[in-house]
Formats: sequence, C-alpha cells, structure tokens
Amino acid sequence: MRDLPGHDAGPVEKNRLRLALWPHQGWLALAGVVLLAVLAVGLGSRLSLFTTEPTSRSFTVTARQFAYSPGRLSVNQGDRVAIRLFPIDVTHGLHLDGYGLDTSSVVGGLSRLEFVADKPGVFRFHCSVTCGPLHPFMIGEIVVEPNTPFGGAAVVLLLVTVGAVGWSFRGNAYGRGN
Amino acid sequence: MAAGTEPTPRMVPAAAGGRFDLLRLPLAKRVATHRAFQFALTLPALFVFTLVILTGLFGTAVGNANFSTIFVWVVWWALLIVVFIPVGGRAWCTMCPIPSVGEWVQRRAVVAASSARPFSLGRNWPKPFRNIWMQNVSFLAVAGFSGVILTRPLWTGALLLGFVVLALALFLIYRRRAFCRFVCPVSGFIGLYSGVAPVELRSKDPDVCLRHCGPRGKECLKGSSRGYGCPWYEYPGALDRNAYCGLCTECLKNCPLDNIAVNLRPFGADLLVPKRSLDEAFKAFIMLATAGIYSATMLGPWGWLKAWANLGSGNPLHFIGFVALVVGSSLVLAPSLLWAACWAARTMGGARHVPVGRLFTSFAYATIPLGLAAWIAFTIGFVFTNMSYALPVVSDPFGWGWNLFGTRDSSWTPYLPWLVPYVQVPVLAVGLALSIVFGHRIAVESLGNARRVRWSLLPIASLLAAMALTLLWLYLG
Repeated sequence: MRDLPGHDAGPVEKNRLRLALWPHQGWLALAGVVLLAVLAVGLGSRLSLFTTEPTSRSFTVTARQFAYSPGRLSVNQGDRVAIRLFPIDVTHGLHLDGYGLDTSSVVGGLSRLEFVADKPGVFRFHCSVTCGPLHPFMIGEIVVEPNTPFGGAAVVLLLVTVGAVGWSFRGNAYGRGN
Repeated sequence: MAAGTEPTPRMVPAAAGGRFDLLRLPLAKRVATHRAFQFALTLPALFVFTLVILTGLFGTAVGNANFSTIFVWVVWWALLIVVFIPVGGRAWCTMCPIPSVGEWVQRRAVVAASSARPFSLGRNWPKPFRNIWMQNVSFLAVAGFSGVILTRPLWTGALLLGFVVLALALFLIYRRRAFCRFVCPVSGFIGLYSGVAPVELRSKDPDVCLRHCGPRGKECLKGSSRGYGCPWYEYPGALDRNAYCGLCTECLKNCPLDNIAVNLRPFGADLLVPKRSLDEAFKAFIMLATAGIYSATMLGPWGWLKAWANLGSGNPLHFIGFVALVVGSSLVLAPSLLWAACWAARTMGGARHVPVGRLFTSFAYATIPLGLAAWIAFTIGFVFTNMSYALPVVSDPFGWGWNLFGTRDSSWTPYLPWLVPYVQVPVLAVGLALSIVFGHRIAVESLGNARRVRWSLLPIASLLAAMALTLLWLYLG
C-alpha cells in the first residue's frame, strides 16, 4: 500500500484507500446512474401529454448574422407550427433538429416550414447556408411544451444528488464514532 | 545507506488497489522504452499542425470551409476532451507538436539522447511563477477572445504559430519545458483533469528510488546516456499525481533499475491526494465557469451574446462586457458561491475552528469531475452538429477548390442530433455523482468527525447540484 505524504500507512489508511478506490458497488451505482439518465431522456422524449388543445401557430423568424429573432419559440405539443424564414442581410438557412426539416432563403425572400410539434422538448435550429464566421453557431430553439425531457433529466440529477449523498454516508472512511 | 544492504523494513507500497502495470506487457514495454516512441507520435501531429497553421494563415477566411478551424476546434478539441483527457490523462502532451521544434533545437537532437550542451541559456524559471497562475491567465485570455479565435482561420493560425514561437523562445532561455509546465493554456486544464484519468506513471517502489541516490543516481531527474532528465521539472521517483507528468517516457528510458510503471488505475485516484493549492483551485473554477459561458454563447439562442463575443456588435464596450463576463464568472462568481458553501459547511458541521480558506481550496477540487463532465457535454453539443464540415476540408483544406479525396462537395448535415441529450444527461449525472462522492472524501479528510462530515456535505452537494441543473437547463431547458 503506497504511503501517503505525511502519513504512516495503517489499518485506517488501508480502509480509506480501499473505500476511495472504486469498490465494485461504485461501478454498479454509476451504471445505474447512466441507465436512469438515459431512461429519463428517452421516456421524456416519447411522452404525449396534450395539456392544451393543439392549435396552429405561425412565426416569422428574422435571420441576420448571426442570430434568429425571435431566437426562442415556444409551442405546445401537438400544435401545427409554421415558420417563415426572413433573412435581412445575407442568405440564411434554417435546419430543424429532431424533425429533419430544412429551408433557406435569399435576402428579402420568405421561405416556409410546416410541421406538427408532436415531440416534447427543446429542438435547435441551425443556419444551413454559410453566412459568415459565426455561421456554425447561428442557433435558435423551439421549445415544445411540456418540456418533459428536461423535467425528467432534472429529476434524475436531484435523485443522483440525494443518492450520492446517501452513498457517501453509508460508510465513514475513518470508522464509526471517530 | 550503503550499497548492497537490505532496506529498513517499512510499509513498502505494493501495487495499490486496482493498479495494473501496462509495462508488464512485453510489447508495451518495448515500444514505450524505445527512443523513437515520442517522436513517432509527435511527427504525424506535427504534420497536421503545420497544415493547420498554413491553412489558417493563407486559406479561405470562411471558417467552416478551412482546415484550421474545423480540425482544431471541432476534431482535435473533441478528441482532447472526450477521449485523450478522460482516458489517457496527459496523453496529448506526449505528442503535442507545439513544443517539439523548440525542444529539438534545445537538445540539438530529434530522437537520440544527445550529450551535447543544451542550446539554451539554461535559466531557471522564476520562482514567483512556479505555479499555474500564468496558465490561468493565458486560458482566460484565449477564452475572452474565443468568439473570434474559434471562427476566424487567420486568428487560429496566428495563435498557434505564436505558441510555437513563444515555446521556442522559452526553450532558448529556460531549462526544459518551461512553456508546457508554466505557460501553455491547454496544459493547465489538461493537468487538472488528468487526475481523473485511469492511467498514471509512477515509481514501482519509492524505496528503490530513495536508495538510488548520490552522484550516479537520479538519472530520471538529471538525465543519462539513455535519455533526458524529466522535462517537466518533476522527480519521477516521488510522483503521486498526474498533474505535471507529461508522459514523455524519458524516465522510463533513463531508469537503470526498471522502477517506473505505467499503471491502469481507478478513475479519479489523484483527487484524493492531499496536495491542494489556490492556483489549481482557481483553474477548477475557471474551467467550470467557462464551460457554462461557452455553452450559453455557442449553443444558446442569444444573438446579443454571440455579437458581444464576436466583436460584431459595433460597440467595443460590448466586447469588454463579454470579457468581463468570462473573467467575472470565473474569478468572482464561482469562487464566491463555493466560499459561501464552505462557510455554510463549516457552520452546519460545527467546525468553526477550521479555516474557511482551507475548506475553500480543498472543496474546489470536488468540482473537477463536474467540470470535466460539463466540458464533455458542451463539446458533444457542437461536435455532432459540426463534424460533417471535416469531410470537405480534408479534400480542400485551403478552400481553394481542390478535391484531394473527392469529399469537397459533401454537404453539411448534423450527425445524430437526437443522440446528443442521451449523452449529455448521463455525462452530467455521472460528473455530479462523482463530484459529490469526492466532496465527501475531501470532507472526511478536512473534518474527520463523522457528524461534522454529514452536515457539512449538504451545502456543498447543494451547490454542485445547482451548477449541474444550470448546465442542464442550458442544454435541454
């Protein structure tokens, strides 16, 4: 057992090192954390919670170097969404993650995307036509409420916090009563 | 102790729990101890690096069509954060091309162990700077200008060329790898996060090193006909952390007693080594805070923030505001929050006799797993989206219309965007869990008393959870 600086190794130190250096339960616990997180995102992404009556929503999104305006759109799950892209300085595109939709338009032009927001969560849209230095980071977001993937993931992080604190308390490295 | 006598019996460390010496494998040992090992890794990296500088300086100004910006800030960065550091610690430093030219000039040799006097003034690095504060400053400087560096090939090429020139100058003035050890902004955080990695270079038996002293000893430190003394200003015989071992393997070549091991080990083992300092603590804050700033700026929908970072708003005060945001969150906000949590930890744990400053420095190290997780999550967020730019720039690195491999006309497409949250959330969750567990270990070390530890952990865990939830909101909220 390697001596720690300033310490004489003894039974307490051996216990400390043994506890510190990944008991097998630690690996199982981490695997459980990963599985829980994946399940939370997966279930959250597939929930169909139509908390409000679906409706039609229409947005005109102005595109300029290097931002969309509005940059964040909010709709409810089930809404029929129409996005009109309106570039004002150079040609811009709009590629919507999660729905695989893409459009582009020249300055002064107007292009249109339509889809049904049937999946909850946050979906980013990116400029798909090179428009300048920050083109790869020209990003907007559509939030399809209720944002259950975020809610589920947040619950997982809180559970992980409680679980990690509980895990740490399960055995005091210096022995009970010290 | 006279040569040939038996060592005084003491608790001699055998392989500590979970260690496996990779050099037990004959092929691994043969490769690692070969003089050309590091050169063989560095040479291809140097070739790519040269291409990066040339394309950056002379290629197209369109960032996503230039080899330099794509291969540095998308490909290399992703490999560094997601693979090299978590798996290999300082493995990138083994092959980094930035100091290679300067080191060859200083040594007057490329592969062989030259006995010639170093081509250098051989000065000692100034004592006040024998820490990583300079690396903290250099990282913050790069982070402040990240909006232009990451997106303009000319800035990328000029920055990297500047690093090469600076490294060369420092090799000509100071002994060994002063640039890597004290100046390089990347080396600073690689060293901090390398403590998480499951690989380490250590002496097999420190007693062997202790006995091997005198004028003919300590070849790992002084050098020999077989290799150079440790370029990282470390004494390999006493290495107990990865932070400042560049895995150059000179000590492996030098040691006449075969007393150096390259171990596989449990993740995070270094975080429990009670060597803590304020410069490293602030490096942890800087990395955690900039992960959040970068996530908001690069992945968020806030155009005003991108304009400020990009020097594109037309008002220089906005850029100053962005720099202030980076510096303020790194050096003021994050440390203040931890200070408050440490004060609460001390109060709730009934340990008012323990200086808050000591707890502050110690608990800063508990943020390391979460900080690394934040950087991995951020990197995943933009790499999947932008990796497809690598295909056209491989065929047309300068953006001049070449088509070397037939991939120039590959169009941009985000790769597997649906997969991103499935990676980000587990990574954040694991980072949070490890930070809390290590926070507990640090509390045990600092406070000892079981009751104090239990109560003191709560504010620390709460702060870590709040940080993780903030990052989660940036990605999924």
